[in-house]
Amino acid sequence: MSATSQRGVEPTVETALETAMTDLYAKSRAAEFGLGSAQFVAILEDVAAKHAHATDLYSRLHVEDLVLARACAAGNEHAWEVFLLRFREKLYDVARQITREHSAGRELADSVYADLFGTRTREGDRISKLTSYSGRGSLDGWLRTVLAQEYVNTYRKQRRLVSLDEEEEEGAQFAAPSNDSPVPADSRLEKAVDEALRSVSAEDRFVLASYFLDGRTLAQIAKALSVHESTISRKVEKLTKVIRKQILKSLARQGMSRRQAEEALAADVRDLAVDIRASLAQDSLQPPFSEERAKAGEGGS
Amino acid sequence: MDQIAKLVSGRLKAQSAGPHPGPDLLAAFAENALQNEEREKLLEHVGACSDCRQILYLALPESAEAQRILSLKGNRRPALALRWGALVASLTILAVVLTTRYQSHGPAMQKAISPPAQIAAEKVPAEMDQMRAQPPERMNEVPSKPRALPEAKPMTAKPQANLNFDDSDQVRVSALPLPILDQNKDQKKDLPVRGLPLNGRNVTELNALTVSGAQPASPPQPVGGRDKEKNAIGTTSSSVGMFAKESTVGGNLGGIVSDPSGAVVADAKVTVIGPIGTQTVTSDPEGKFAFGRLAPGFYAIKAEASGFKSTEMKQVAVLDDRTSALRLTLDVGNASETVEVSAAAPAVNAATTNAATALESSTGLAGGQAQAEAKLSRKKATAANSRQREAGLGLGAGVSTLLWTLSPAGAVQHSGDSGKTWQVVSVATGATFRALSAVGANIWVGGRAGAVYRSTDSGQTWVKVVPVAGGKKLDQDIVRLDFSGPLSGTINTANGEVWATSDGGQTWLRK
Repeated sequence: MSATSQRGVEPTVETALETAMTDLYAKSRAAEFGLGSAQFVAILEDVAAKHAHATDLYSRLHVEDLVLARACAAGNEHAWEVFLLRFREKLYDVARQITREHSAGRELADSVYADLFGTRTREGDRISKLTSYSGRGSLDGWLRTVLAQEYVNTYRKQRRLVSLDEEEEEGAQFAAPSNDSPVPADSRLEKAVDEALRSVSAEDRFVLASYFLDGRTLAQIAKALSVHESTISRKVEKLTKVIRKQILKSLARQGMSRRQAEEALAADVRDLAVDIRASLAQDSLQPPFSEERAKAGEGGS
Repeated sequence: MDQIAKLVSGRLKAQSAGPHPGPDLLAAFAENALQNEEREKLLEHVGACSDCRQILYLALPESAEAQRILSLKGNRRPALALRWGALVASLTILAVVLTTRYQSHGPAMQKAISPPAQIAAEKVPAEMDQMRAQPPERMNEVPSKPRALPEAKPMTAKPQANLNFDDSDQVRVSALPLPILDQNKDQKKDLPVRGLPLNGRNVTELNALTVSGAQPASPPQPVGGRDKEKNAIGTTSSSVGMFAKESTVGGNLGGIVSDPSGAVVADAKVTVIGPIGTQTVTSDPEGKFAFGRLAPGFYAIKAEASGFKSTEMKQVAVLDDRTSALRLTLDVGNASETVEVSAAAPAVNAATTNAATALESSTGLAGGQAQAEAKLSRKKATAANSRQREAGLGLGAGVSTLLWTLSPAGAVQHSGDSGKTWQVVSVATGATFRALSAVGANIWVGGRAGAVYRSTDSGQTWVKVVPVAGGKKLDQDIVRLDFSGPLSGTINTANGEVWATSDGGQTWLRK
C-alpha cells in the first residue's frame, strides 16, 4: 500500500471514530446534565482504563446510565432529580425485597442512598459511590447488586456480634466439644473429588455450588444464568453422574479396586477432613465489601 | 446422589475464591452483558465464593418466568407422529390377531381367559355375574352349534359383548352369542346399500365422495348390534372407533369455493401451503374440495379461478383426527390480484376416526342435515376452538404447549416439548432481545434501542413495530413487555418510560 493511500485511510478512521463518539454523546444525553463532549470522552476513557480487557466495550456500555451516574456524582442537581425520579422508589422496593422486612429494607436503602450521595470527603470533595459505576450493566442492576452487597456485609457484621442469650438459644454454650483433629478419611477420596470438580467447567461448578451447597432452587439458578429451568435440571442430573464417574476413575488410578472405590464413596461424609474452619478463616481474610468500596472510591472497582 | 452431593458440597466449601468482583461486573453478569472470557472468570469466582453467590441471587429481579402459553400445535414433527402411529398400528394388529386366535379356540379356552370379557366384567360386574350364573348346559350349547370363523380385520376389533339401549337410556351389556355374529355380518353387507343413517349422515353419500388420498384403509363397519340401528353405532364407537382413531394420523381440510353471490365455483385451483409443503386440488362441479391426512399445524390455503381474484386464507388450523371446513369466497376481478382473508376459525368437526365420515360432514354441504350441521358448527367455531384448548390441557388432543424464552445471547427461542429442546426463532438479523411477551400466537419481543418485533402466527413471520407517541420514536432499550391480549399491552424502557398500546401497536401512548 502506498504512503498516499495510507494517509487517505487515517482520516477516514478518525472520522468514523468521531461519528461514533458523536452518536454515543447524543445517545447519552450528557448535554442535558451539562457535560461537554470532552468530559464525556474523559468518562469513557476512565471506564476503558478499568475494563481494558473488554472488547467492543463502547457499543455495549449503558452510556445514558453512565452519564447520569457520573453527573450525580459530580453533584448536578438536574441529574439527581432524574435519578430520584427513576430510582428512589425502586431502591426501597428492592431493599424490602432483599431484607424481606419493611423497616430493615428502609434502613438498608437509606444506608445505600447515603453512600450514593457521598458522605465521606477526600480533599474537600464528596466521594459518591456512583463514581464506581462503569455502565457495563444497567444502573438498575448495579443498584440492586450494591444493595445486596451492603446487605450481605451488614449481615456478616451482625453475625460477629451475637449476644450471649442468642448463643445459649442456639446451643453454643452447651455445644459438644469439637474434635480438633477429625479422623482423617481417605485423602485419596478428597483428591478424587477435587479432581472431578476441576474437570468440569466454571459454570458447572457454579451450578453445583448453588444447588448442593447453597440449596438454591432450579428456578433461581436458571434465572441467574438466563436459561430455562429444565436446562439446569438436566445439567444437575448429568453433572452428578459425571462427577461420580470421575471420582471412581480417579480412585481407580490411585490404586483402589472398584469395590473399594464404591465403599469409599459411601463413606460418611463427616469423616472427610474438610476444614470448614480454615475455609471460613480464608473467607474472612477477604476484605469486606465496605472496605473494597473505599478502594473503589479511590479509583478502583 | 446424596452422597455425591455431600462430597461435592464439602470440597466446594474448601475452595479458595480470590478477590471479589465489584458490583459492576456482578450486575453485568446477571444481565448477561459479559463477554465469554469475563463471564468465565466471574463464574470461576462465584462458583467458589458463597458471599458473591448470595449477592448475585439477592440482586436478581423478581421477573416473570418463561411464559407458558397455549397455542395450536404448529411444530409437531410429523415424522415423530408417524413413528408413534406405526407403533400403535402394530400393537393394534397384534391385539386383533391374538383376539382372533382366542376366538378360534374351544369353549374351555374361551371361558378360561378372555381379556375383553374381563374388561367388561370390571366395568359392569352385575351383568357378568348374571352371565356366570347361567346353567352350565346352556353355556355348552354354544360350541355345539356350527360356527363360522370371524373374518380377519386388520384394523378393527370385535366387541365381546352387546350394548343394549333400553327405554330408560341405560346401557346393558350382554354376552354375544356366536350366531349373532353371522347375522351381523349380513347386516354389515347391507349397510351401505340401505344407506343407513350414521349419526345423521348418509353413508351412501359418504361413499360417493371422492377425496384424493383421504380414503381410510379400512372404513370401520358397524358390528355387534342387532336390536336397533343406533345400537350398532354405539358398539362401533366403543371399540372399533377407538382403534381406528389410534391408527389415523393427521387431520383433514375441506370446504367449498363460491363466488360473492354464493354460487359454487367449479374447477377452482385450491392450494394448501403448510409445514411439509404444498398440495393442490381442483374443486369439483359442486365447488367442493378436500385435503386428507394433513399433518397437524397451521396452513395457508389459496383458491384461484379464472375470472376471479385469488383468495388466500392464512393460519388455518388443522388438528389431529379433526376436519376443518372452510368456505372460500372468490371476488370477481383480475386473477393477479389476491384478496387476503383473515383466518376465521374453520368449523372443526369433533366427530373423529373416519376420514371419509369426517369429510362428508364438512364438505357434503348438499345433504340437508349435514348442511345444517356444518352451518351450526361454523357458528360455534369459537366455542370449538376453546374446547380444543381445554382438551389440550388435559388430553393433549390436537393442542400442544409452546414455551417461549430468550437465550443468553438475546435470541428468541421456542420449545414445543416442555423445554426439553429449544429452537432458535429467526426474528431479525443481528438483533438482540431482552424482553418477550407471548399471548396465544401473538408474540412480542423487544431489545436494544427500541427494537420491537411482533408475530401474529406463533413466530412464523415477524413484523418490526416502531412505537411513536407525540412525535417521539421509542429508541430506548426495552426491559419489559407486557401484553395481556393480542391488542393491548405495555413496553417498559430502561429509562423508566412506559409505552402502551390498545390496538396491536398501531398507536401508542407514552407515560
